Amino acid sequence: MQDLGIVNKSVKRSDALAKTLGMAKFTGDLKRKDMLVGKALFPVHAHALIKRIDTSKAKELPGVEAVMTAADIPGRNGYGIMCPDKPVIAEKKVCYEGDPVVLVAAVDEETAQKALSLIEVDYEVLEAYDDPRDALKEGAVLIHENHPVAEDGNLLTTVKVDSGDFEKAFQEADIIIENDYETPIVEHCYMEPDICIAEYDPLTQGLVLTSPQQAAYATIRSLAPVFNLKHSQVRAVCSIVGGGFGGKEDSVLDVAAVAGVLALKTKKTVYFELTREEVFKTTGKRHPTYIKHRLAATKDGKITGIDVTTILGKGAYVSMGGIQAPLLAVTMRTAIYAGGTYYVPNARVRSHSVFTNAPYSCAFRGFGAPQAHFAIECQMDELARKLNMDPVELRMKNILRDGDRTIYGQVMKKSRGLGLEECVNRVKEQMKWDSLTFENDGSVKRGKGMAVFMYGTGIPLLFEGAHCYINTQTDGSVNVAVSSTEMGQGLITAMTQIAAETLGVRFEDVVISISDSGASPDGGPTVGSRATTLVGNAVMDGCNKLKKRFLDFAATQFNADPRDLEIKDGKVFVVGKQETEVPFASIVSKAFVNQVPLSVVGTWYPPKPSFRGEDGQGTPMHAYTFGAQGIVAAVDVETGEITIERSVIACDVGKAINPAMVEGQLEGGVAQAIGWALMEESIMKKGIMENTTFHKYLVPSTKDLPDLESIIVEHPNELGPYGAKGIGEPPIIPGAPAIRNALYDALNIKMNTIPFTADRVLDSIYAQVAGKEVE
Amino acid sequence: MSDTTFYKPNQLDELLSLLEKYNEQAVMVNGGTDIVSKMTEKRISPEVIVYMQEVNELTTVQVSNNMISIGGAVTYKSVVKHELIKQYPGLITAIECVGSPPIRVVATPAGNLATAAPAPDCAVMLLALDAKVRIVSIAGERDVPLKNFFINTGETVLKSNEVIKEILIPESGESSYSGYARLARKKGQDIAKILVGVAYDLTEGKLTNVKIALGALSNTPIRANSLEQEVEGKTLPEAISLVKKIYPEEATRRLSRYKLLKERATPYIIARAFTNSKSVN
Repeated sequence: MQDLGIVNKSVKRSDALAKTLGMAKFTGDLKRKDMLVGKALFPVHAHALIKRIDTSKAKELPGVEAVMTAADIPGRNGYGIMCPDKPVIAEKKVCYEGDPVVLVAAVDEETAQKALSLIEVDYEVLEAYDDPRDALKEGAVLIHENHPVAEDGNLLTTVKVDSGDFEKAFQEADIIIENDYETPIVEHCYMEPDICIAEYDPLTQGLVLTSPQQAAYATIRSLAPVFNLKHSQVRAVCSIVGGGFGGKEDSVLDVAAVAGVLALKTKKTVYFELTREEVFKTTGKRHPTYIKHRLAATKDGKITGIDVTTILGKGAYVSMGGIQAPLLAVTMRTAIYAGGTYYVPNARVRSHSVFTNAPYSCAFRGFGAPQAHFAIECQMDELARKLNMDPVELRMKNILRDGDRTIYGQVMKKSRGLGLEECVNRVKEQMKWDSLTFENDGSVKRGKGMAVFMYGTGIPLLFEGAHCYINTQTDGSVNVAVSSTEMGQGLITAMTQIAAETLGVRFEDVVISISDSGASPDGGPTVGSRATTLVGNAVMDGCNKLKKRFLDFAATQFNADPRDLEIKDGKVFVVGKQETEVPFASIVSKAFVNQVPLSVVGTWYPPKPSFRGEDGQGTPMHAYTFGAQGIVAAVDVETGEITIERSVIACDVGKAINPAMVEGQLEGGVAQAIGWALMEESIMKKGIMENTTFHKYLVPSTKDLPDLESIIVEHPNELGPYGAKGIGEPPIIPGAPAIRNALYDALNIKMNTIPFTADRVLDSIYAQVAGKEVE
Repeated sequence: MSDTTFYKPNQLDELLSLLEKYNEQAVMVNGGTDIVSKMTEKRISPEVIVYMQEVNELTTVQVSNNMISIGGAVTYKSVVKHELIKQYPGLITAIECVGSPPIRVVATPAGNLATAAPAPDCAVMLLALDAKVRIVSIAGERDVPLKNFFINTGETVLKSNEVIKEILIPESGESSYSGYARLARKKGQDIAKILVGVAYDLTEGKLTNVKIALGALSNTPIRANSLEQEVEGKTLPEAISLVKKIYPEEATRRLSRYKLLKERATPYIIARAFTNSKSVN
């Protein structure tokens, strides 16, 4: 690989100063007094028929400019990132707490709020389902009478993965490990609540939707039919985003649909912001899962088969749950990762996504992979115990290596980066794993645990094209326009580094504009850990095209062959002849007057992916990120309190475009995993969420975290920009099983349901004590 | 929204006159950490706010007549860093559990008492330290022992024209010990589910004058008198192993999803408060 200048350096984030000084503008900072304020009336029941709506008093209230019910939607009363099954305004029934029944726009918030209180709605309450297993039962009330894509009643979709002969594997197995695992509904807890400013544009008769989001073009495609507008009449703009974690791919649609229809109705600008309570109750969540995992192995520790059934709680609408093959999204990820990072020759996997009356489950950091890895990584520790083998040694014995096939038939390629073994070794080394033992300290018991994972970069099969627009200015500076989102992950900085490195200009000469469909072509959504890799490749493509163009032109000026020329640090020169150096700006400005176009569209697509519906065989991903995490946990057996004393994570990221930002992702993911494992859970009772404040819904504070130790491993991906693979989501994956395995080591109790709250831990300890007494 | 009048008196008599004038109409704001959230959630919309944090007479920590006095407007941050408070290690631990550093910059021990939340770290420890509350109104002052101060959740003996002038804590002796422990769902920024403050004197190796206060186990902070009697006269190790076996009868186990957890863990948190106890030496 060539010598790198700015790529692979921890340069300071371009947005750091503005954000630190509080000067960077988020959408809420753009509020003006002349905007109308929108409000939605949400139902008091999660599952109910709407019998009567009376809005007459609200309409008469001075200051109210619009009161809308379902009949007032200008176009299709339905939207969704994959399937338009979610109504903008509920018409005949509500399927969860977040279905708006009436929308209001008024001159100020107080008037809008007052108008809501004047609306009367009568409901006929229906049975509401929190648990997808109840919604699947014979005779369960249908949540959607006529769903456009549901497989059967409340069952949305089933993903199958079949390979080898799993029945034979289980018949011949020396050891079978069988367990049930449960993971909860989880809220993203981004700091910035969902918000949209919708502005009617009299010139285009269209809309400008300004909103924190993760997928500008997906917003347009999903909502234009609602507004009865052409896609080209809807412009999606996004300022910087105060956290997304996958949630703002969907929740933007909720707020933009409401603000948009109100803006069209009033021909005015409408400001619509959810309160924190509304964010909890109405926006998307992580899919809860109920996993039955059976693992077959030989007595010397080779996995021979898996048999896994996963039920996912879909919530009320499809969102990113998946429809038909190959558009199977999160449901598919729970199936393909059911065997983890291991070579498993025989597999039968079924993942069923089932509607409930909870908020719709959507994308959330990890996209189904954390749930699947929780099960397999817990299974591996139990297998290791049964075999009396070190759990790390057992993993090494089974991990996928160059040329191995996954359960879904993809062949692992070293050329795309297979760094798992190094990750495991680095974690082992840093923790001195083999000699790490603990003295028990009164009521406090300690244990160590490890988990490993893999995660495919991007969301192939859904929407995987990446395009950008690059314009060179005559002073040699460069504008790069991407529709991707800066949500704290560092997109702007990474794209600047890639553009500067590729074109040969200085870091400070590149300006990235983000998330404006009016300014850039579709880069695809900023999800699936894809932006750095896929959009980065598009930026490289564009910069390479421009570079070739300018070198070809420079050759005429230098009277040299373009292959002997180079651009570096904003200078153009004949390689080896320093004295020929001229500023890049002078070449650009001369090119400009010599009819050389200064702008270009950069494009990249990954190799065409495949996934067969019948048996889940194919090659869905172009490359995988790998990682391993070691945990030391302490548990007080008297009080159930858990302390994470140590966390060491190593991830193979292919190539770190900006190592400091990669460490930031690793630390953030680990912290979020500790929350997932120990405390986070949305508690539903008949579709009504019981914990809608940060007092009742807990996220970890810095005091709940140990020093977070991060190791970057680089096994380059031949198809990534400078070798990069995605790293946004992966670091959340191994935390929960590594913690669980550490607790298993500490207590000799296997706990298979997260979060491990103090009361749950004590229940397990008391049950163990009671069990012993019986013996 | 109706207009709210905001007063910021600097003198105590000014404050008391305002309270006398507006009485129940007025909402007192000290640190504001509870009131502001109630206002944002529109649970209250006061016509008059009287802000007391800048009343000169209420802003000091001092010693007089063998009592340490914490003024009604002194913030947590000022309390914990005050030299006179070092004699109560349990109080410092308790205050460091309250909210987060930004909360402790504005919130106050007096506000913690007046709000009468069921799980107040500082109030529980003050109860164990046998503190009393000096209440003042335009009519004069009265002292109320903290154990008689709370009536119910959100309800105290304070009348609407009264304010907490100071919190008075008996000075510690050479052999006075205090300790604090809590069980929360996470380690930072959480309201605890079990709160325990203990204080005692160590006389010839034996615990005397034992006080055990509990929070979040009843509607108000309470003293566990029965347990105090059990522990009186024991050595510290004896006391620790004894309290681990007893769920104090004064704790009424409020109905909540944490009931079983409280039943199981309370004795151990009491033991931990004893284990954590320290003297100023």
